Order: sequence, then C-alpha cells, then structure tokens
Amino acid sequence: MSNQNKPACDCQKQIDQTDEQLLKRMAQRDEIALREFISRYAAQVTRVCSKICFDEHVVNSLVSEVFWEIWHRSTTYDSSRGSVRTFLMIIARSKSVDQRRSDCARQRQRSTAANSYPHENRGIEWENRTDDSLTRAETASKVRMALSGLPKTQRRAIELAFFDGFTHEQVAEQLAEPLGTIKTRIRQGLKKLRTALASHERNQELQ
Amino acid sequence: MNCESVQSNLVEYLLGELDPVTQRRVQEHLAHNCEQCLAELRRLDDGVSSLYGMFPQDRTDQVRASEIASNVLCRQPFDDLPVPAVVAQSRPRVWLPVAYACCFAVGFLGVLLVLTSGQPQTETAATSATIAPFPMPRALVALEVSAPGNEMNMVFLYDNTNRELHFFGKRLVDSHSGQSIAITCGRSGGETLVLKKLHIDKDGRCQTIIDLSDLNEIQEFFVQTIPGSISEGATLRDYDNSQIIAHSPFMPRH
Repeated sequence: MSNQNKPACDCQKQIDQTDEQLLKRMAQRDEIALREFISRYAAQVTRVCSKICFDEHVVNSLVSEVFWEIWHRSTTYDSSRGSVRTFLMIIARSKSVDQRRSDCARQRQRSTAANSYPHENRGIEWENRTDDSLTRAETASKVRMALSGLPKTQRRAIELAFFDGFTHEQVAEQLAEPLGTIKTRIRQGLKKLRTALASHERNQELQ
Repeated sequence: MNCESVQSNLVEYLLGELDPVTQRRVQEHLAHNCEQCLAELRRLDDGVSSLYGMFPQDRTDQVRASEIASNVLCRQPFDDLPVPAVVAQSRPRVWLPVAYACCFAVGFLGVLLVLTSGQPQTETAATSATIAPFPMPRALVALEVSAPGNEMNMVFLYDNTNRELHFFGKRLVDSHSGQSIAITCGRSGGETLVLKKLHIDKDGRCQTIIDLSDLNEIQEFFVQTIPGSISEGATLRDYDNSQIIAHSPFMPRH
C-alpha cells in the first residue's frame, strides 16, 4: 500500500517545489525535475513561440530546443539576473525570433520580389490568419486586452521588443524616436503591466 | 556606471541584449548590492513575467511532457538546429560593429574551411587536414568563411562572458549533407583536441555551442572535415561589411 502511494507523494513533492529548486536539481541532471519543469511550462513556452512563429511543426521543435537549452544551461542560471520564468521566456523569445528571422531570410533568398521584413504588419497578419486555433486566438486576445491598458506608444514599443524581437535600438529606428525615449517607454510599460496584473489578482481574490 | 545608467539598461540586461562591456558593468553594479537598482530589476522582471504570464500556464499532459523530455534527453547536441539569423544575414546586427571593433583590436585571423565531396562519411578521428586556426579572441567576434564552389558559410561567435564558442555552418547547396565536420582546438605544446563532431543535416546545416570554461589553454581553433581535404578558394570575410579579410589557405599566426 505504501509503495502504491509513493509515486503520488513523489509527484506532489515535485509539484510543490519552486522553479529555483527544480532548476537546481536539473543542474544535477535530475530527469524527474526536468519532467516536472516541462509539465509546468511547456504550454506557456508553446504559446510564446506560437506568438512569434506560426508553423506548428516549427513551434514543436522550438519548444524542445528551449527546454534543451534550459537543461544544459541550468548550471549557469544566475538568480540575480531575474526569475526562472523570465529566464525561460526570454530563451523562448530569443529562439523563436532567430527562427523567424532565418525563415524570412530564406524566403527572401527564394523570392526577389520580397522586399520587406514582415514586422510592421504583424498585427494584421495575426488577425487575418484563417487557420488560427482557438487557443491562439484566445492568447492573442488576452495579450491585446492586457496591453490595451497601456498608452499606445508604450504598447507599440513593448510589442516590437517582446513579440517581434527587435532590439531597443531597432525599436527606436522603427518608431523614429530617440533610443532613450524607447528605453523609458518600455521600462514604464513593463512596470505598469506589473502593477495592473497585481491589481487584477487582488480583485480576483476579493471576488 | 551610476544608478540612472544602470536602470536605463536593465530591460536589455534581462533580455541579454547588451554589448559585453555594458553587460559586465551592469552586472558589477548589481553585484555590489545596490538596493535601488536591484529593486528596479525585480520590478522589471515581474513586468516581463507578467507580459508572458498573459499566456495561460496550464500544466502540460504527461504524454506531451514525456515526449518533450525524450527529445531533450536523447538529442544529439545541436545536430539539427535551425540556422540562426546571424548566418542568414537577414538584417544588420547592431552589435556586430562593436564585435568587430573588439575583434580587430585584439587581432585575430585565420579559419580554415575544409570540405570533402563524394567521400564516404566515417566516424574516425579528425584527420590532419586542418587549417584555419585563429588566435583566441578576447571578445565577442563574428566571422564568416565562405568557399566559392562548395558554397558553405560558417560563423564563429566567441562569447567572452560565458566562455562559449558558437559555431554555425550553413551550406547553400546540400550536396554535402550527411557528412561530418569536426571542430578542433589547439592547445599549448601542440596538443590538439576534438571539441565536437558535427553531422551536417539534410538541409546542409550544422550548429553548435561549445563550452570553453574548462579549456583555459586553448590557443587556436580548427574546422575540419572527417575525412578532411583542403578546400581551395575559401575566403575569410568580415561578416559585417562582407570585405574579404584573407584567402585560404589560412596559415597559423604566431
């Protein structure tokens, strides 16, 4: 009887562990910790990748790459640089952006007619896709709703930096604004999002 | 670096997009436990987390989680990763001028491209048909080697912060797919060590990141095919402005 219960206890133990604890165990090559970490974050990583890359097969491959990288970089994770979740999401963003740029470059090589990098119309592209899954549409809608509370200038800068993968300098170039202005907008926008989310969570708790 | 400068760079710091020098300065500042900046970092970290937290974080079912875990655990390192943007030359990279400034300041040269065509693939040790050693760069560098005729591009990036060598190989034609190449380092005393063998995938691509943190004595890097032959007409190009830096064969620089 006790043996039968053991896996359930172990499973609960994994679920109760913090991200930092799991990552520490992953650094010691604990595969059970890796599986728990994947169970915890694969869905979210998939959605981040899907926001940037549209091809389902590419996204599936990217998700494995992201966890592969986390698995191999778990030893070098530095908590002073941010939370585990941010670390993971930034890797997902970076991988997806690289993949999309690579796809764009290949497309340009194939077609001489291609003369632009399809960043500017990302929002339109997103909405016009006919093969969007319900999840994708829901995700897009949530992101849009949450960002809608920000001033337009901050929202656009954040979208370009986090969902289109532009560096701050490229965002400044794209929006024809000084770099310092863009840095401030992104910082202020992120802090507002944080406050808005905290307030939203408090309201939900009260309800 | 004062608090104001540090704080203005914190988002890029989180994203890992600062140049190595600024990155180090910010890191040093934070390492001195500046409460104000650490608090700002935590706020921004929460902001990024909130941004991506809008994507629902439901648990993945066991089947899918096991599938991903198997991919991670069974995967041969970097043998079929997509070619990164830096190889694709899709857009100008703002960090490249900095990288090259550092790179030329330090002075590095030489990389060898060796290709075999039509030879069967074997998993023997790397042959002596290597060329293109270049002195260990002291900062982030990028260079491209292209060999007319076989049309292969290679890029090395040395990340001085993490002591990693990033290597990307991309063939514009796939006639060499299925072959292998090796990245070898030379150490003081003439000793050589195969750091990694790479399989070129069906699309003619290969990529790897090599952790150099334990290899303090590395003096040179080589790229070689297995089995190797010297590629004629290879050129070493400045990745940023496409100017040819040197023609093959690249001789060791002492």
